Amino acid sequence: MMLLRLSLRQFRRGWKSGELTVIAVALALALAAVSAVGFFTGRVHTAIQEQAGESLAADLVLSSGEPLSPRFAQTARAAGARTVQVMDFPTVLFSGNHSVLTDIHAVSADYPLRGRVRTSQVSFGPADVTHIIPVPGTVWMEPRVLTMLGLRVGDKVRIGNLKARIASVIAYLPDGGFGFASLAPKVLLNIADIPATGLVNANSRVNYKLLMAGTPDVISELKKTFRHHLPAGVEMRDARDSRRELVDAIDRAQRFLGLAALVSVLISAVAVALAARRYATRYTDTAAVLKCLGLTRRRVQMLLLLELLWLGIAAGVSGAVLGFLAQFGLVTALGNLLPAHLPYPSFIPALSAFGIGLALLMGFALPPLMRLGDTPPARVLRRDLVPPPVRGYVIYGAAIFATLALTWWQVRELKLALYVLLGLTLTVLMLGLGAGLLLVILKPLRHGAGAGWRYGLANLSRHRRDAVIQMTAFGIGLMVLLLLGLVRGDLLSSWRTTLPADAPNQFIINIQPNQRTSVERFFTSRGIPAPPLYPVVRARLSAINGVSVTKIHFRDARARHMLDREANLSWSQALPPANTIVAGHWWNAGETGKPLASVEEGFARQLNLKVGDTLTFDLAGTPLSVKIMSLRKVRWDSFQPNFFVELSPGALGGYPADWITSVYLPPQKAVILADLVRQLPALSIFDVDSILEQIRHLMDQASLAVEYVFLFTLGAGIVVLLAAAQATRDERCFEAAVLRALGASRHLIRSATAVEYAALGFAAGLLGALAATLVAWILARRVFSLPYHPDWRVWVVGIAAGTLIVALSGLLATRHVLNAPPVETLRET
Amino acid sequence: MRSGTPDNSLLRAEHLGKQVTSPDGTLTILEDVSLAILRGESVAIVGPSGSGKSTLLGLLAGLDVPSRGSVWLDGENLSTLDEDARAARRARRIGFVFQSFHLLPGLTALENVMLPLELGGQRQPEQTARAVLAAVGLAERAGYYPPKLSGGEQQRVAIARAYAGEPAILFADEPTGNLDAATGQLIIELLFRLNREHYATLVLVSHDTQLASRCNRILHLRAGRLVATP
Repeated sequence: MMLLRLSLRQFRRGWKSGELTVIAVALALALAAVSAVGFFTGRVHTAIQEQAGESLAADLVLSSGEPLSPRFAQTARAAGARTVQVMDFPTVLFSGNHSVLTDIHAVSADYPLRGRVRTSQVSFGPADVTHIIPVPGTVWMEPRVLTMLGLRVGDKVRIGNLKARIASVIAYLPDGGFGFASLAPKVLLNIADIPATGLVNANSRVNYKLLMAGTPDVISELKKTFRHHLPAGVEMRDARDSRRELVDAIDRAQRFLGLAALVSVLISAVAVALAARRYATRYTDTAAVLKCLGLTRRRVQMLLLLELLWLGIAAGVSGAVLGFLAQFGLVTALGNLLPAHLPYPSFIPALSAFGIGLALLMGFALPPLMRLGDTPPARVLRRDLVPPPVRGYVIYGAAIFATLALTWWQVRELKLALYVLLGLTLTVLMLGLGAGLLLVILKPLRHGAGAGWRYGLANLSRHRRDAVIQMTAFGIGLMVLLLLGLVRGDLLSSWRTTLPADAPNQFIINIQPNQRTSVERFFTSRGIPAPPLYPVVRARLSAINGVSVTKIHFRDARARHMLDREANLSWSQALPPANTIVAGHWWNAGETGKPLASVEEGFARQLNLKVGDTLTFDLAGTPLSVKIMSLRKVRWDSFQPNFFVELSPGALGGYPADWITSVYLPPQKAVILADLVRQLPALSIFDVDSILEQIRHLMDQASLAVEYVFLFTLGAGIVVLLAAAQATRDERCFEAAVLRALGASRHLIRSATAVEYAALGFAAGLLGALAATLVAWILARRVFSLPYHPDWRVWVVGIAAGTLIVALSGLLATRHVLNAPPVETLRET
Repeated sequence: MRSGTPDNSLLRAEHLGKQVTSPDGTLTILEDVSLAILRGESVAIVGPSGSGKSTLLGLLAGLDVPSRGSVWLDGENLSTLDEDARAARRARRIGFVFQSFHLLPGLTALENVMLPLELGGQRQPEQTARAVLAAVGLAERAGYYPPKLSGGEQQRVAIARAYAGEPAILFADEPTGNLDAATGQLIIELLFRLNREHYATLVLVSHDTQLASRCNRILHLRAGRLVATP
């Protein structure tokens, strides 16, 4: 009880005097970063949980790439279930000459069977539950479409042949997933309108669904019935499967943002360690007096432990409150990608943040403080007596253990935690070495300039270790922000520059055999060479060398995924451009009538295929066996239509095919495509530029959220600087007092401080820019195989931001040095 | 370990020696010091700088352990106790006053005085602490933090803290060393008055001959040995 009271008093006083401020701020900042991510992902998680029962808009769903046999619906209804038909497919929606890629969600009456659709009349306006579906001739759409095309309710859009009026804005679709789950925004329309669009034929990529709902007994019975009679390509899912996918997605987001927050936590840990070391030094006299008055070693340690606990609680509460406020920033950054109605967060992220706070304190503050228990009581008589130093393995062991525990806590996977730590260690080592080198370079520069310059740089050299720590901490913060802010865009632009200027930028699909000449004539009549047309047939791979694929075990998940989907087959007399043979040979004139195939090498590798193997495809019930003659390497970024499997021209016989093509149109000419769609409304046109723009927009939003979390890293860097400034506070005050007693002006001392911190910030900015450039180069060359063009903005922004932020923070942190009267300082020492 | 106290001494030192190891080799600070201090007696230890006064005080008070010999407090050999056991004896029986006051800066004057009472498990520490603070004339300053008090006031708080726990013996290390002459005089008066009132034994180390002369007995220390005359 006595210890409790004493610890509270000591803590209260330490808090008031500012001795504990740096540790508290470092902790609060780390916890704010972690809890902001926790609160945010927790809210999305809860939204998923709350909607788990309705995330399919049904209890059970059958889906297939081909129309589902009507007997499934009949069976379901006979068993007592209600049913709804759904067709999902991507298409381009037009408004005048503008277009956007969307996901069509065509539904029949009674949709949804579970959950409710909410709509509004303006984007993000007040939403109401609706019990109907769009009437034929009208569509409902997500606000993203309206924003991208500048539309509002009442305007008209065109989907294939169908001209439809926008009747409502979708605020919530039970089975809409969340924005980040799909690239294209959803458009809801009445399934009765599908024939009018003319977009669906035998070769269209449509996902047909049968939604079913009923009592648990009925659903369970249906599951049993269907499980044993599902044809190849038909998939059955219940709400549990669907929820698992969404939870997995949000878990991945949580882990990623959690890693970003972890960087702040670890940099804050450095600040905590620096500040705790100083606190321990200042606490030594108190520990000696307490022991002299009869407090045992254990009770001194207990007292310090309690003080840390109060500190942890105070910082934890502030951090959690800050994190709670900060999560609104994340919600804003990801805006329309999130569910419209996010529930309020639970307390759990705050508790988790408390745990992290305690781990930080135990790992980084406790070891230097615990040794105070061994302070010799005779120090009250002889000040040269100090507690024995803590053994290195205790300090480093505790710090390493805490770091590992914190990383594991954030990523929940030991292997990934170790990889992350390895990456961080390498980055820290690289930046630390760079910082050491810069200090060596700076040292001789101090001669020859004014006194302020000389003192400033001398200070930096003298506090070498602290300077390296500060440069590294800041360098990391700047590096990640530069990577996210500038280099990300550079990589995308760099990739675009690798594409030939006339690489096709418009894909036209769904061309029917009788429309081929119209399409060709459309272009030639406008002075544009007719682009080559390629046939497309959708088929499912059913057997390899006569063995059904259902009996072959593929370890690779991607291989299994490939088999779940239908493949696009094409045929060609000549080897298409952007293709090269890597094994076997392309068919010659004499072989073109035989059932032969050429397979893309990646596809072959996934499915373990080689030249000479026989593939059997299922073309809507018709089997087709072909022998592999060659393997091809395909340059996918040629933006020509390319195929995993090319067949010899005679292989398919008279099987009907769709045709596709791609063409380059300069932006000013792209408007002519609107004419083409007017003439042939059932064509689907994909504008690569606008799809890339959609991708870029998604990336921008996602990285804005990550950058936002990394801002805490920069904050943590500032706290490290404060901690280092506080650690040298007495020394700085004394030196300033001596200088001023000798006649130095306040201006001189201020400029020395400014030079010291500006040089520190300059070096940190330089290191951050260097590291960002290096990482960008590695990413570009090694990961994406792109040429890398260094971006001068990285250097300018990095160095300017580093210099400015550090110089201002440093001046602020050491302002007391200027303000303390020299006589007082000299009397105290 | 207990031994009889045939000579009625409260504190006894037998053949005390203290050596420390420094980079220059082993340094002997105290050599074969034996003494006995009676209950209620006041003893001054005087000697030039570096003669080992403070080291002797530290050993007698159980703040440090001797390299040789033993210290007996109330019949108990302190030298055989571990640090925690010595801390317990200090909490119960010993009070301290130091040259640099050694008040805890994080606690108010009142809380500083309450501290040994709380450590000793006293029921109403605040009441007692207020009474002792009033006895040293600082009732009005109870809520002040040490940095806000003058040197003399801080030493009065330290004296109040030392006597608050009713110690059997009080050790004072240069109690007037950091004070001006007038304040020092006031502190000396206060120290001796309280010593009388509490019937405590007083052991003090000082350069101040006037202060030493107020004691019943003066022990002269030179180069780590007790000598008969200065």
